[in-house]
Amino acid sequence: MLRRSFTAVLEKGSTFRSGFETEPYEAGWAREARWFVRVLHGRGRGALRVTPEISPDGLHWCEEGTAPVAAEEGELVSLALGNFGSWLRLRCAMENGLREVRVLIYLALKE
Amino acid sequence: MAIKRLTSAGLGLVQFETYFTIKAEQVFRSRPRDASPARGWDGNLAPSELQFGEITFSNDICSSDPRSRCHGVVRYRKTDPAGRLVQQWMHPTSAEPTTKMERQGLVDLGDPRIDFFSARPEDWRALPDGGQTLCFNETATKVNWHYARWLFDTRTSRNVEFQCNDRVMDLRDVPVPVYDEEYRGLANLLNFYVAVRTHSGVRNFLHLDSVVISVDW
Repeated sequence: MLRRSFTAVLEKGSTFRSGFETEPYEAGWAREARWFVRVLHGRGRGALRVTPEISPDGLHWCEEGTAPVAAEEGELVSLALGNFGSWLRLRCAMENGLREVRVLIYLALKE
Repeated sequence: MAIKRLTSAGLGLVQFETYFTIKAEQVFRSRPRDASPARGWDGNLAPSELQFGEITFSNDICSSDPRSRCHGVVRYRKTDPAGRLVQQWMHPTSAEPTTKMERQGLVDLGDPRIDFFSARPEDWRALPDGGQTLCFNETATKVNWHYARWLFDTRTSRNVEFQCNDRVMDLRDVPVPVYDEEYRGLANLLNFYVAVRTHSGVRNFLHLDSVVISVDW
């Protein structure tokens, strides 16, 4: 049986000028998940720091526990998650003088 | 938006049937991007109904010779962008913007505010007998399913009728915008679209429980 997989593109070249969270994403069917964050453009020095969060209901959130990663302009970074329950999101913070960022964010899910 | 891309083995009547339900996401009032004021809940009407925008059913039809292309489109507008209840089935008066129109500089498909199904946001008119209240359960955790049946004719590139629950709308006299030029690569195109759109910072959901497509050829 072919394993089910799906890649959700949650931000498609969106521009942000302050920290943000990605939309709540329900992925209870998936055994594994991997975030990809690609910073297309950044204004100001610094990096986008991304922290994975999980939730039992899509409303209340806590950190998943995996160490955050930081992405600078032009970089693609990734985070792998397993055993995460049903709801996922990324908390994204602008660090060290980053004033504006344009990003692609993917969530790759696999059965 | 979800699309099923098919081609047709003939011309004639095509019927699209589904059971669907719609819901605005549950949110807390403190959510900063929530533009629609949630009014007090009295246990009867659901304030989250005011946070639901619209759903759209569309086809994409192109005959084999000549390559005449059009979209038949039916939209249910629950609220307008100001968050006022509309509860009206509607149709567009201009054709859906295409990649070719973007290449010609006629539309900007990169603008996230664009209405996917018409060239301009104001290009919508009410369908005859199209005012309809759809059950929208007063409790945020419940949904109710609705029946929809849409009949159109690929031979004439016209809609025939649209039914939602107990309401049947006659679409025979409702014009379908047709493109002025041929789309040479799309012989016998028969696509189906379903779409949901929010007008506020609250996500909106459209669920379909199966789709049945029937033809008379």
